Amino acid sequence: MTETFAVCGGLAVLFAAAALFQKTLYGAAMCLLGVLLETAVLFILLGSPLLGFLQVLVYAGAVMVLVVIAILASPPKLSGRWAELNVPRPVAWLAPLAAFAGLMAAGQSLGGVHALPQAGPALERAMARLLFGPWALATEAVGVLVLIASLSVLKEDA
Amino acid sequence: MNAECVVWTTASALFAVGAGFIVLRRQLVAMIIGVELMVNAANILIVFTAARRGDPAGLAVALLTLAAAAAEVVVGLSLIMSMRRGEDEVPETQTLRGMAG
Repeated sequence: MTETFAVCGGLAVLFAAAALFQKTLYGAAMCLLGVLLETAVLFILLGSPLLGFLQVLVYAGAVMVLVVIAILASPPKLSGRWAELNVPRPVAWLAPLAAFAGLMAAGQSLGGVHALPQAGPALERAMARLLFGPWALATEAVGVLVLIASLSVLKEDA
Repeated sequence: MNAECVVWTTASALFAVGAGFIVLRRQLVAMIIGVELMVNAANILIVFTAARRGDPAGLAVALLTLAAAAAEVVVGLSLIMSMRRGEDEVPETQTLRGMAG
């Protein structure tokens, strides 16, 4: 199971790296789709198929459609507005490298488990009880947040 | 093969690539893509930790994070579309430069 996770995780990282070096945003979005689908597989491998299916529905489905529509509707000149934020490339590369090194160091300090842990259906049932029991207010708050976000797409005069 | 090492390496690499998107690409949509990669990396670690400890709260947090991140994408992309329409023109009096006189 750990080997399968390593292969799927490697594919996700490969898609992400490919997205970073794509010249067009559309190509980057297609690579992002690969990352999102691989992440869904990783969730399933971790024993949580519910999160995996939701990942496919929400991210690989709805969010990707929005991203592609935004790319197709955005004029190329929009990118020029943020040119002043650009830092020298060698310096900019330090940020992702530092993030990678820091996270790896944090992971090494936690100790290791050899077998990939599995969430399982019992844990998912407990999660559902939590979401609709003690955490119901947080669940409702996130639902309202999504509703308000969807209303932000509407024009003021619509 | 150590499972924890594999998961941390995957999540760290995804997070680093997401950070690279933000600092290396100039387009707004690319920055949103980078944020999505970083949220996904965090979610992988949250689910892994929840599965390892047998804690349903971790899975619940991952689910709520997924929904909140989707809402964030919708707002971000609608802002970009708003810029596309030219509706985001802020009057000079409402900007910091305008307040400074």
